[in-house]
Amino acid sequence: MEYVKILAVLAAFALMGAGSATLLESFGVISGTASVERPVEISEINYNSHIDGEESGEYVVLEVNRDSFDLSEWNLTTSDSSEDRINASRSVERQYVALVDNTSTVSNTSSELESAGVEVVETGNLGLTNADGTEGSGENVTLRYMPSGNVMIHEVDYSLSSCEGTDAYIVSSESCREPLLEIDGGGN
Amino acid sequence: MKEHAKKALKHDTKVLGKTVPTMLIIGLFLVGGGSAAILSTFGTVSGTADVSQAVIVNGNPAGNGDITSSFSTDVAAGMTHVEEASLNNTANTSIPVSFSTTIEDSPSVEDNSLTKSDDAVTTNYVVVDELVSVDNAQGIETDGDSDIPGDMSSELVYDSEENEVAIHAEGQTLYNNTSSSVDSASYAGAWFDVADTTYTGENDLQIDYRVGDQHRSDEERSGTKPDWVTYEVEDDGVTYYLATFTADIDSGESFNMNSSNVFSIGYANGTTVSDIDSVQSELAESPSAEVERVLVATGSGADDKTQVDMYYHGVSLADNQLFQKSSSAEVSPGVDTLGIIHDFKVGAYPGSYTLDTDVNPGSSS
Repeated sequence: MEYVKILAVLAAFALMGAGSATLLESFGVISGTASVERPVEISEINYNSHIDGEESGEYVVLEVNRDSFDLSEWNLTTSDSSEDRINASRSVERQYVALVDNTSTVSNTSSELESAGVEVVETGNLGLTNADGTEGSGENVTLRYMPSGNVMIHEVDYSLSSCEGTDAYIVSSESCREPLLEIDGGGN
Repeated sequence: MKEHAKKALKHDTKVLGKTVPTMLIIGLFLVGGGSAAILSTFGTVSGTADVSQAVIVNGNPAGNGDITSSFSTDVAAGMTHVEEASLNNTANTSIPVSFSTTIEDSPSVEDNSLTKSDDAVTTNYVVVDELVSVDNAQGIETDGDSDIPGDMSSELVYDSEENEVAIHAEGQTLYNNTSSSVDSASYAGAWFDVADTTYTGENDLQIDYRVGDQHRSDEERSGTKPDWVTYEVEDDGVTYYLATFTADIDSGESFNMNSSNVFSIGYANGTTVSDIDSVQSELAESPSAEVERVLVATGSGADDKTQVDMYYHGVSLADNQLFQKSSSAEVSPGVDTLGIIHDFKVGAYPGSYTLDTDVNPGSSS
């Protein structure tokens, strides 16, 4: 008797399966792959130990991957301070923008950056760390987009030990490489 | 003999160990014999139905979850990607469909503070009966140069801030030769054909334009004029809407589309009108006159080429609606355009995302 019951249940399932197999579950699927990049990313961090003469100034280069870039919507902070380092409000037209420390006394950096096609924005003291550990203790730069709730877009850790004694620029955590832009005043 | 038969009928019979009256067994036989004599059917009409898929996506009747088409795109976080697909309703009645998108693959995110996975992208859908088509008024011959292609491309674009879909058409379509006299110049131009069901006259047509190859870099000149005036021209059953405008571009040079010098409409009867007043008079006098050409120029003097971007805003018209995620639509008979709007959040973690959009039969519940 049990055997008969099992057979009946199996037969019912078979009938249900035959019915549903005649109905389309989907007319089709549009499948795609989107390669997403950051809207703006930290391209280079140039702090005093890697430039010829500290008076040349330090700067951070941002690469812009979107059509419009309004500085007022972004902030840049270092690990030792939550103070916004950009302190500027304007639209950026070019792909690269350098936030240059406006406290440098001798600054041919700006003109060199501009000649390299970089848009220069002078800003407050970036407070990046010197080779001797002075001038701010931050070894971390964070870029945030404020209109969407202060969302962190890019964070780069830079370490003195990883690039010390070289002319390389910090481009990512524990990673040094030649500068993206050929700027004479830099460490290249 | 009769007595013997009566006894036999009253007698019980043993069946499978049970005692059953003999009369009952005979009765069952009679019932069976009676039913066999009644027709169960007057006949059978047999046939084969070759059923085609009701809605075919991108011309590929794959169905049942198979991938009908694929795309690949590079996008910066914070931007949208609009993927277009055709929905061909082969039936003669509207078919309800629903859409759903799943993220099949996304970059692994180690830092929880970053936007990831489902939060990184939202998807909306729009079904448009008919896109605005934009074309050149005529083939363009240049002096010594190769002819300029007489077509423009159009696409759906999405403004996430306005939650609005627009039709964007662009192309290097306009040509104005170097003749010093604009009256004798060979104007070519763009016309745009808007389906009656789509256009209500309540929506903006915006044209951004750049004049001349030499102005496309740092000296690029551009202008935008949102308050367009449109004029309707009938031609072979198609209504063309002519945009006219006056705008000052950055250099201060003025393009007056409302003048007699920069556009003309040529009728089959030989009449050519080239100012708005005449167009209106002609339309009033001969509303069904056959139009041979609609020419609009946006350049003048030495400008040889004009790059035009047209935005037709407000597609949410009549049956065209913007659908939120997992919502449904009625696809009318014929070919509609589906716009799949993938909106990547500005904080989306960089990497590769695989997105599958299902077009399903029926309404979503």
